[in-house]
Amino acid sequence: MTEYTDQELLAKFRDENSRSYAFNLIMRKYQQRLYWHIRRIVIDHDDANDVVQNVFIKVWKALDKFREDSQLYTWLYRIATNESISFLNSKKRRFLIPLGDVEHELSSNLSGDPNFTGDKIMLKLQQAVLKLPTQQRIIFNMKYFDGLKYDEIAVILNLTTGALKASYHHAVKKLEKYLTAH
Amino acid sequence: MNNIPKNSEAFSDEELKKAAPVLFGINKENAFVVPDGYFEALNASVMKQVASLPDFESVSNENPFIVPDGYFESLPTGIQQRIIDSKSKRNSVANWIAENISRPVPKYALALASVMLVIVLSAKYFNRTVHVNCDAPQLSESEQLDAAYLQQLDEPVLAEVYAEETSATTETQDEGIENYLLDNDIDLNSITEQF
Repeated sequence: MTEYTDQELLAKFRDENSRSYAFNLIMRKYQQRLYWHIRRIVIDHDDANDVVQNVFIKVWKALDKFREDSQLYTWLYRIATNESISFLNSKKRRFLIPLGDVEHELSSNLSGDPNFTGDKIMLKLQQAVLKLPTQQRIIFNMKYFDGLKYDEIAVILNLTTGALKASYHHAVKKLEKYLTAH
Repeated sequence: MNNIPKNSEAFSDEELKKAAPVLFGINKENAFVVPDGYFEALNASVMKQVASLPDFESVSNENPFIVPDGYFESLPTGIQQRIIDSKSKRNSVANWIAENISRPVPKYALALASVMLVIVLSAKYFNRTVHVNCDAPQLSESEQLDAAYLQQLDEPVLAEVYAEETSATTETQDEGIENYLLDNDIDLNSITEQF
């Protein structure tokens, strides 16, 4: 299959005749990255599946208005992050539980989840990560697991690089302390 | 590590790795899994949903709604009339309020009110009933009568009576001693010789 650049894909999307084809290619290019980013936030596979499909529906509706003032994947990441947070908030509202307790519930479900095959230390790490505040958890995931740079994360989350560095460093120290103590 | 600029992200990451050896020593291999064939199915599922979205571009631009004849010609007049009606309603309410409530208060009204208030409070204060709590023991009727009689007497009369009573008491004491000596057959002269 021919590999197109993001600009080429966007141009094809704006052409009505090739819109579906371009969108299909965009999905194949980014679906796994977006899925895993969402999955690390919402933890459960079925929830991540719902969120990622909602994300791509939104992308279909909004892509022709994308101004290209940022990279396509940072724009996609931003939609995915916002949808994940909205999903967690709606879960909290639906079950009338505080957001902190939602993450506690996710943590306790993790150990029995058949879709989680990590070893003991990875399980401990994931449970520790779930104890972080939501935004800090997302920043940590994007830097530690996804390997994104601070300025990329800054665009996605609309934060300063200074704030991101501080948040990430703080998260690292908390997690190290937790892993050492447990 | 020596070649990495100190203000770079790579340097900062290296420093962090040293500070958190346990965390950065973990194998980051993805611990989450997905069912087999998930991503192929995901693609198809999303495309199916996209295809079922309403295509607003294919919808006709023709307006399906109609209005009565001459509606837009009469609309400005109707709106202006409503504005005039609402203004006059507001004015009548405002006028009523202005006539009955928001009249200018006379200059001396406040002073007069203050004076009246002081007069009323003073009258209440000076006409108040004062209750005195008397803990003194109650006198009997005869004692009350004696007290009333004594109040009517002059002071010199009282002094004379008191003196008579005192002398009578002294004489009575002397007579008592004499009677004692006589009753007990005691010789007064023998007592005198001893002293």
